[in-house]
Amino acid sequence: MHRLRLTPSADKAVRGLRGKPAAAWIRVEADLKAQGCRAAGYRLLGSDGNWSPYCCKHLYGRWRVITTFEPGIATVTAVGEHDGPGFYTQLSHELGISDVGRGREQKPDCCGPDGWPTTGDIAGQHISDHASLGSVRSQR
Amino acid sequence: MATALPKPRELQRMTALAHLDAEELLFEITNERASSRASSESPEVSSAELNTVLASLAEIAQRIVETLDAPIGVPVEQAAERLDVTAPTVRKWLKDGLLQRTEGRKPLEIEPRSLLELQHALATVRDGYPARQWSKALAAYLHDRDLQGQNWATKGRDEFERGEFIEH
Repeated sequence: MHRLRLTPSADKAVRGLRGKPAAAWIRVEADLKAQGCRAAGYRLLGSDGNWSPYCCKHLYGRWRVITTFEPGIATVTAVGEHDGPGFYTQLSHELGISDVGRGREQKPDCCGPDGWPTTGDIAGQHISDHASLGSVRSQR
Repeated sequence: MATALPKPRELQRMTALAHLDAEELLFEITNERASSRASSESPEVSSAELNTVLASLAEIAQRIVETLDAPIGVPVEQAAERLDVTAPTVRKWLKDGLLQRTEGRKPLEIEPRSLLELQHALATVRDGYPARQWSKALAAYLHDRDLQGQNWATKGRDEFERGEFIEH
């Protein structure tokens, strides 16, 4: 089992959920406590192109849950709807990649090969150190 | 941006002015580098001094952009050279929406801003991927950058970094 904690804004967001997103959150919350990063969706890239310490779980529709982990602790940093403005909207239209990320083909596991982020440190890890973004797995 | 292509004489005048500004920009940067080397024994530059220099450079750059306010993009071959890829790759990325074309230009030309954005994005991902995966890698990178730039995501990250949590 993992401790689960939310930032105040994430807590406010989940309390405001209604209907199917709310039902999905109940499941995700239980899964995060039970499975940690294995229930956290896919790993996000950072602004430098390497792995970020954050993962993204599709909740329902455009709703996303962003998490990060320490040993034994799952932290939900943010919950919100992903709008796709500007350049990404154009990109999503042209590439058929939904602005809610539906078509993001590459979804590397949130957990690294050595179990990160449930355990360990990501410092110094590079994208090419892990399974590439080409490893496609369904995370929804 | 202007929509009509300037007449040759006007284009010549714009080019001359832009050339002048570009020379000034280079001159300013060269001077700043020289000053920086001269003061290497006391390399600390105040934030105010740095901002003054950056403001000066930005002003010149803005002047160049305004001078060259014409619907002229970057030819595919030049874009390919800038991105260090082949012309067919540039055309593919244009088709994929990773680049945008300058409307009304034939043969097709690339919008400079989209070229720069892609160049920046590419610099962050190209080391990690073989070329054949670049399109997908770029799409993933841009997706994640956009997601993590959402207001609610940055707010949550800020709270996380401040150690603000609620136990569930």
